[in-house]
Amino acid sequence: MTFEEYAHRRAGALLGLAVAVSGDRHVAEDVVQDVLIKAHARWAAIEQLDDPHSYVRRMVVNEHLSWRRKASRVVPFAEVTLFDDRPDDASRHADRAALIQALQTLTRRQRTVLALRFYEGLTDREIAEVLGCGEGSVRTHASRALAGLRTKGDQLLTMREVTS
Amino acid sequence: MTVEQELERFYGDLRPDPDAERRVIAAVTASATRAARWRPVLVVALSAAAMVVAAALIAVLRPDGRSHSQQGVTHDGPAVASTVIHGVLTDDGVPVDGARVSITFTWHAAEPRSAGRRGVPAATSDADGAFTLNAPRELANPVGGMVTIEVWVTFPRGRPVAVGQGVELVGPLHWPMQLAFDVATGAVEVNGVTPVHARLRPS
Repeated sequence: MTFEEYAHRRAGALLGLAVAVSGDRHVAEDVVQDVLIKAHARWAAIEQLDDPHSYVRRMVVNEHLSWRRKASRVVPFAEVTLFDDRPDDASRHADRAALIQALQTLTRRQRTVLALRFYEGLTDREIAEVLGCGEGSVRTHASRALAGLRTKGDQLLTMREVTS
Repeated sequence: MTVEQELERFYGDLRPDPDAERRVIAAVTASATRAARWRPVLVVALSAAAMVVAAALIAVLRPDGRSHSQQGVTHDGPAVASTVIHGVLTDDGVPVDGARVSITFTWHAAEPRSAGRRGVPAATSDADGAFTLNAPRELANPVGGMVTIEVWVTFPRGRPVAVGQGVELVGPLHWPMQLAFDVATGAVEVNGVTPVHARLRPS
């Protein structure tokens, strides 16, 4: 498979993953673009791998996790809307808004674990391979993330009910 | 609805923006095309630069790998026990503490390739006036010609620097070498013998 074929076939999936882990469509676009440019430079080696897509997916996650360094150089000029707020029924919209806000309170690594589990559908072992850590560490991140979401989600929903 | 179910629904609804996908592919393929176009030029430019650097290095370095500024002067390598110099520095028989002693060796031989000049790192005398230096390894083997040493002694409290130049030692040399300097009398002893013209005097 040539690099161009791979990019056309998998760019959408990589972009979806980047949006899921970063929660920001603009950052996701930059992350995937940077990763694909790097992958192009090393494509001769990458295409020899058993599963080139797994490798590039890992590059996306690593690029996202190192994004803090680059993000510190970016001056925000407007409020960034995380994820999509699509028209929906009121309660579902409220739940979704609460979840988005709660996701923002998680650490980058915790959000990444959740995205890999619920968006990519990876097992803990596969997530551990992508992140380069142990399965126990993945389970810890997931457990803390879910606990944090429960707490924050409840708080946000309660606040919304009180103010509405 | 549990948090897990909410997450599954949330991530399940998440779809990448097709416009973003097109933008990324366009940017990446443009970059890839640009890189492919410039790669031969880059390869040629880097090769040319490498050749220029190599030529410059060859011009600067001698075949033995030493630069022009280092020609004829070499620095001390790892210490070799057989070329150790044990020295004692005295002032009218009283040991001088804390003086810096440095020595430069110049050796001559019939074969120009065997000749050389080398300074060794300075040593500081202790309370007994004793100091230890490592002579160049080239002097480990007996040298048929003549060895000249130049000695500089720097005192700890601003006294004039004492210099002993042209202390001639005729090979073969005996190791470890015992050197004794007295800055008051100017006496120099090498292995218990006073060499010809050997005097230590203030500069």
